[in-house]
Amino acid sequence: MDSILTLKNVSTTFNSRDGYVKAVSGVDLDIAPGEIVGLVGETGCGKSVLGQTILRLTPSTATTEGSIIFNGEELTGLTEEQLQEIRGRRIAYINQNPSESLDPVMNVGNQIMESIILYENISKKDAYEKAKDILKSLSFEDPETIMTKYPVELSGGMKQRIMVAMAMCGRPPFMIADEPTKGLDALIRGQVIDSLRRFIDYAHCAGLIITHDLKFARVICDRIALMYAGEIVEIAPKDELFTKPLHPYLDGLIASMPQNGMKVIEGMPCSLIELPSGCRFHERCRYCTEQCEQIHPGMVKPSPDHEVRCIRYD
Amino acid sequence: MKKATTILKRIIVAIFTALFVSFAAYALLYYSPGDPAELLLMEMTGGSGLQMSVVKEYAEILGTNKGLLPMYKNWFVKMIHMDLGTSYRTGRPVWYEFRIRFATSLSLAVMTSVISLVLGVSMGMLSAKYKNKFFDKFTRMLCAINMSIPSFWLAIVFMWVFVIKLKLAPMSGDMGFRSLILPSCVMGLTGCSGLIRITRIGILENLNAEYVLTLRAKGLSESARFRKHILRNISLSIVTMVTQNVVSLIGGSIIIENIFGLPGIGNYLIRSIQVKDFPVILGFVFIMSLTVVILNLISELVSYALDPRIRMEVYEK
Amino acid sequence: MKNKNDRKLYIGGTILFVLLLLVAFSGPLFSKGDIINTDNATQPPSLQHLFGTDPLGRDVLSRSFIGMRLSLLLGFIAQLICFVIGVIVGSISAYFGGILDKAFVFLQNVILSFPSMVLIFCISMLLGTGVFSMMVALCIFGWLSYARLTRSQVRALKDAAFIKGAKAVGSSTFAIIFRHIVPNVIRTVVPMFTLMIGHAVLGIAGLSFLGFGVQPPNAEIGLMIRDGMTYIRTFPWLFVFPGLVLAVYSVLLNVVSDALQDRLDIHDSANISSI
Repeated sequence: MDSILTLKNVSTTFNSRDGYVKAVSGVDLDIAPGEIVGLVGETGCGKSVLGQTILRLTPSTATTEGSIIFNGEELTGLTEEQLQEIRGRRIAYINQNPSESLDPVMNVGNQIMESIILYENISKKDAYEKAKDILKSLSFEDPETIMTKYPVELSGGMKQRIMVAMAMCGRPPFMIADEPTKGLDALIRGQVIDSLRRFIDYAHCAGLIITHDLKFARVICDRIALMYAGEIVEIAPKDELFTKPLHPYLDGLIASMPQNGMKVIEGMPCSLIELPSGCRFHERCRYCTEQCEQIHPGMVKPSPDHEVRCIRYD
Repeated sequence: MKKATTILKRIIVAIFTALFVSFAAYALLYYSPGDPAELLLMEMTGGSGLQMSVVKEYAEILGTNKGLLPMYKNWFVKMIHMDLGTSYRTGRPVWYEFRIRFATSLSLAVMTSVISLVLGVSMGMLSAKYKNKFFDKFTRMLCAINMSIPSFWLAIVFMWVFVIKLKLAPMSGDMGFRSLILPSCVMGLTGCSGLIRITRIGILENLNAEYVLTLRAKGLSESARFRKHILRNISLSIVTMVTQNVVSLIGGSIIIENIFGLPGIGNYLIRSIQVKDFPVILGFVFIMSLTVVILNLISELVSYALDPRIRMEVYEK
Repeated sequence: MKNKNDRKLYIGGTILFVLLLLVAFSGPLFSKGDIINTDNATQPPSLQHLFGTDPLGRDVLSRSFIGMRLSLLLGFIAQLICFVIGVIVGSISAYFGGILDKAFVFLQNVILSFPSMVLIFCISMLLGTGVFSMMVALCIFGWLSYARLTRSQVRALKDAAFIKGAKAVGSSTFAIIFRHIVPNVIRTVVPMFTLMIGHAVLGIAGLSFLGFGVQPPNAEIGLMIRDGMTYIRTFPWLFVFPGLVLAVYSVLLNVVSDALQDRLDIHDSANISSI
């Protein structure tokens, strides 16, 4: 057993007014120490929910099944207090939407120091120095001034990097980043990617990076998992994924990338409340057969580290 | 530096507003029927058989035979020299009259605010904690009813229950602290509904805010999240609400003072209005409205200190 | 997002309010209301007189309803006046801005920092005590709420994309205000109107209680409570019940206002996309 995080048959369901939303269903995933896995998919495919499920950060209306094993420890059975010891210290989580994700009435210095003091039990003065060092290592030009600023006074990219700095404080062996580059322009995106890299180097950590941006995933990840309608439909080392895409959905996604002419995939993502029968992608798939409409395909392994959920490779 | 000039500007506007308000009250009364000298003599003598010459002479002594603006000018010049003049009716300095009644009104306001703050915030917190449970539903229902009850009616019912039936408090009059308990409870109850509501909504909204997810992800315990972050985030709306309550007390405690026979500012001012005791009216109304504008200014400064988002807005202006 | 229970409450509250409105306004039911019958004075509550009778033998229940009818009517008229003034002043101040807006803000500060009771006393000194000066007082304080709400609404709308679009295609200022802004503003102001009638009804009772509003021998809740207060030791039903009747109407007006807000509100759309 050499993986740091293992998900086995993980499902998360929300009880909403309109019915049960099956945001994540039957996800299996293994992440090795030091490995960065990208989780890619369209908005609403359940990728953010999967990230939150690992640390049980989902809203109270959610129920999770399956097993989540971190460093040999089963997380699903832990109490809230036990999980608090894992959160931040062992597994860091970088929330999406940095503009809303920092306390608006506390300056960012105090928010970073709060994390440090929580993890290390050191004096405020030492925490201040450490926070300054962390910001410096993320190439903030004037850490002391930045620390006195409130979130509203910082740009979106700055806030995102502050979120990264806060996650670094615990020097965790694993981190989850939810859409860290969403809504940022190219230059700022570069800075954020750089910050994430420094974080990974500093903590020597493994990670799960959730994004809708295939290009970004290719830049930073070792392996990429593709998610559709709550399931992982393909997983492979990043280069293989681009050179030998197997799933029709992935073909479509690659074709829709800007450098490939932005050809859109036809149809709409299916509802997570009333899932289609058979393969969840069949309504949008051009290779769709009668079998696809009836049989829900399992994961198959056409090559040793490349898995795909499609009957064409059976 | 910019901050200081902004505050100074606001203080000047505040003083100007208070002057305008007191002048408006004075002008309204000046043009209303009835002559102060006559009204005062009527009150002193009991009413009948006043001779015009006596009234005229008295008006001369008081100085009420001058026009609207000259009289105001007299008052204004004195006021600038920190002299609010003397009351027509009692002959005592207006400042003295104000001071001896201020203690009662102030303690009433303070007690009322403390009661409504403690009750409002704690009930609001519990209500948020037990959201949609029995306690929450019950509290929300009580709030809705409480907001629809006229405070004077509540005062009388309290009097009936606590004074007459249970004999727990004195009937009325000036018995120091004890006679303030019942009136401040009534007004505190009236004021707490709004506080319960905003505390509850504030907590529930903040609990669902994205930043709280970050705090949970950091590994911060529930109580630390609440103490260090959520409370601070909702404190702003609570401060604003409490100020509003105090402001409404300044003008609105008159009914309660009346029912419980308390020797407060309101009661005295009403009697002065009835005999057109101009110096008292000008002085009292000026101080009262100055208090209101200053309180509002303080509340704004507090929100400025508590919320960087508001600071940003001020800078952008 | 409102749940089913809230909806039920809204519907139930609105139906009950309409029923009580009918009760208050259907005159014939209360023919016994203002009849003086000293043989029947100060009867405690009984089946015949549910809320008892007053020292002149009048039925407290009927008189409460007659009083409510008057308060509701006066409250409605006062709020209608406030509504018109407030919406006009608010939209002008926000739409044209500049000196007009500054003047509005100053006026607002003056009224808000005027100790309310002092202003009411001054008005009644000037205009004499009675219904007219009470209505003036209610309007002086009431229009501000509408004006402030309208002002903030119009300010937000002024920069909204669809207004800019209308401007770009050359609609006149007048057309923009009346075709685009007014309907949007009314949507938010109407629930407030209902709520404010509730406040006005409470205000009327308060002013009459102090002797500034409705004058005896008319039936009015505030007056009834004031008269009842004299008999606090002996006949508590004289002030307890009229106050309860007032509270019931006022609570229901709040519920109806919430219901209207729920019906008309645009922000309140279900949001599943956040998952």
